[in-house]
Amino acid sequence: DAAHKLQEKLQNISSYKASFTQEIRDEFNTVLDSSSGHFELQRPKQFRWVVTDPYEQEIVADGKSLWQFDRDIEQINVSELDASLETTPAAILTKDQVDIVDNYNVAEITTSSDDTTLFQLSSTAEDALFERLLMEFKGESLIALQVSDNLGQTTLIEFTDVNLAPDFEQQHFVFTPPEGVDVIDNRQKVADNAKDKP
Amino acid sequence: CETTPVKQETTVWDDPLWQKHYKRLKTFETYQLKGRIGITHPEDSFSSNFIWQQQEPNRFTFRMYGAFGQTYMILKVQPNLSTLDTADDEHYQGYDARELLYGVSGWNIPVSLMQDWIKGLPTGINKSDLLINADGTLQQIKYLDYVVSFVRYQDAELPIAGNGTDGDKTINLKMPDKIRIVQGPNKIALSIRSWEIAVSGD
Repeated sequence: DAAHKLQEKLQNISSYKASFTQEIRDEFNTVLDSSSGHFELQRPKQFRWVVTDPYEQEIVADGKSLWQFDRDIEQINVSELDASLETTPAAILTKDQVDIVDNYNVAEITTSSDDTTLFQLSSTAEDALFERLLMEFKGESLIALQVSDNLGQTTLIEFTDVNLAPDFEQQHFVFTPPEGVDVIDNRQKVADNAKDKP
Repeated sequence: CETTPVKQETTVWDDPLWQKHYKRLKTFETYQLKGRIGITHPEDSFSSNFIWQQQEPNRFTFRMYGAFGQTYMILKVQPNLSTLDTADDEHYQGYDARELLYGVSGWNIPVSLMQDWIKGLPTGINKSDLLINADGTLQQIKYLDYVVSFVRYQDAELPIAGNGTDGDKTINLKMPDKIRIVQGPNKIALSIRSWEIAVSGD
């Protein structure tokens, strides 16, 4: 069925590299924000999401923590990867054994051209942060993601010059904070709270 | 790395350049700006995209959303009533926007005061302790326990309603591009990338 088909497609993406454009529209379909950059993924839990235009931002998942670096506001937030991943649709791409089957209702939508397949996902979890996620594949390459959240805001991410299974060198997903930017570490706060718990 | 611009010489309230800039800022009340906001509180830090849509004084919408487009929250402010919609589809209402937002999200963002600050205007007349740049723009505001620093300005276009014959003209206006708001241990950094100013009604 569609869920297994999608799971299979995702499972054979072990690493991935592409440029992206992202367009965010509000509930009245007016464009709120359009940006572009590049995305690199090494499953299970490593990716780099780098926005280059119109602002500079880097989001790096190094397998353990999620680093978000905003050059304009000179701030780096670092948080536990698992905690923060759940809140982003990107979570779908980074999970190791993609548990699509039991966490999402998946439907395959027939498309006009024969070599693209379109999957529509809605989460079965009550507190899911997105209402609907569309994933479009051209052959084996993921070429688009469209997310609509509970407040009617939709985000279309289109990938181009997709490179399936690139090999990244060892340190590629390590984030080293640049000089002179304050790093705000939310991780040990989480650990501290955990300590206080009886 | 980015060196913070050197601070300009400061001038006085009656400086003609400042007076001219101040009056121009007062001519428009409908505008939209897009940017990034970074919030650093002792127990929480956060950064997000934001869009500020001001319809008229005390009536604006402040939308915060994440890097992957997911809405964090939409705050709609009107005199005496603010509503807040959050990512998990909850809806809240309250009299005071700052308190409503703080109560729900834990972020202390003085949105009503920011209406003036994001334009580069002080709060009221001689209510704040000001530093005014020699080029006629605000350098810093001290108001209550807030310190607002205008780190950088950019040229935005202020449309001037044409008098019918030659149609609408625009003039360049220096609008804040980078603002830091500090209140005790709480820091807010605003980086504004686009200003859209509507022709005022008169």
